[in-house]
Amino acid sequence: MKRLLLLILAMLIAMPLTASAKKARSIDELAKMYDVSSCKQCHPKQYEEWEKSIHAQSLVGTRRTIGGFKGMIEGGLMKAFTKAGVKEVKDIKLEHLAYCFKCHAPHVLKDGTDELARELAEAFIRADAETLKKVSINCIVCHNTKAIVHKWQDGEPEPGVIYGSKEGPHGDPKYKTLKKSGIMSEAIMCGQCHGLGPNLEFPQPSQCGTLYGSYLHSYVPSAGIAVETCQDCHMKKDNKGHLMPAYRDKDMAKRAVDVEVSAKAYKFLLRAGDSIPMAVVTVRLTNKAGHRIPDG
Amino acid sequence: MTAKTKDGKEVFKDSKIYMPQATNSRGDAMIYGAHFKMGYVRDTSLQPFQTRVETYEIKFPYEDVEKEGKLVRDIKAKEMDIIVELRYQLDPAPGEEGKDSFTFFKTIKTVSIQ
Repeated sequence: MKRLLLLILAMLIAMPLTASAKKARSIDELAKMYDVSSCKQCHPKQYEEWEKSIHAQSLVGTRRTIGGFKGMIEGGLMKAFTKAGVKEVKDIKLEHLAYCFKCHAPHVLKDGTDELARELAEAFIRADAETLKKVSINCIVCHNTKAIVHKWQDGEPEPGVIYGSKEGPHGDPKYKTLKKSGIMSEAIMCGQCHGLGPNLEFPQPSQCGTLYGSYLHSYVPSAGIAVETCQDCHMKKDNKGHLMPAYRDKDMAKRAVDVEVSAKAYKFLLRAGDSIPMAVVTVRLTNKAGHRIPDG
Repeated sequence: MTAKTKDGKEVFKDSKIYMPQATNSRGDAMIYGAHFKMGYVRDTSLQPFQTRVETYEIKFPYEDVEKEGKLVRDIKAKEMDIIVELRYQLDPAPGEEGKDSFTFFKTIKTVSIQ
């Protein structure tokens, strides 16, 4: 009996330890959990495109993202948001970064700890791009973590499964199964993060990109039956694939806005004897993209 | 939009800003920062499939001078270069091309008057 009690006691102690052992307590632990280097062996084109993308540095961006996070921590959490309970980095928990990590690092929220949140916060304050590049929106995040939105129909994303366009075995030691994703080629896949408006589900809502809102409410009504998806323009046309470029890409820029300029010179006569030599310039700008410009 | 005479003198300059403008939804001050923004107060961005037309009237440089007891309009430059540029700019200052701002379109139209 005593032995059984000891065993039960030992199990009770071990259970929370086992559960927390599955969570990443540091940037390096998370990077290891979400290591995508093996994807490159069979998908070199997609991997190389992704490597050059902004998704591959979702906590760094064009370095403005780092600045945004630093401002959010120092100017928001530690200063303006006086009821957040954060005076120093040691007070930071995952929940304090959730409204940004919802999109910039959803896997940190899924598989990270408060300890990891604090390590990331310190890296943001130091503007340590090299460290922050270890955490990114990578193959696993899109093809597993964010691959299902209809969770009452499809359930949670399963461990060891890569969601895409096929079903069957997958030659990866960790992700051994392929399953079809219902949304991978739909605009909602991108719309999960390239947002709708204020994220009102958080105690202090944030508002980052509102592009998907613009897509739904401005583009779709204007496009009629010729509605295209995010993937059509940002991946398929010009064959840019997993680079998924936007305004920084010359082909995308050319496709996005039509500009016509006409200019004419004449002498405008307002009243007798007051002939004004004048040029009239007309600029016509037409947005041909599937969302407002600019947005993100 | 910039207009210059052939000797390079700038005679006109104007810019339009196309962007959604946010507040924190508890006042009338526009703010930056995703963590502070919580709604748009104004949106001047380019909307899908819509055409924005901007018209500029630019006077050629002139001076009214008296000649033989009469006021005569002396046009100082009869030719101007009109430079039209559309930039995707990440900050209020243009910064470095290809890093802080990206030129979507640029053209120069030369206009002349008799």
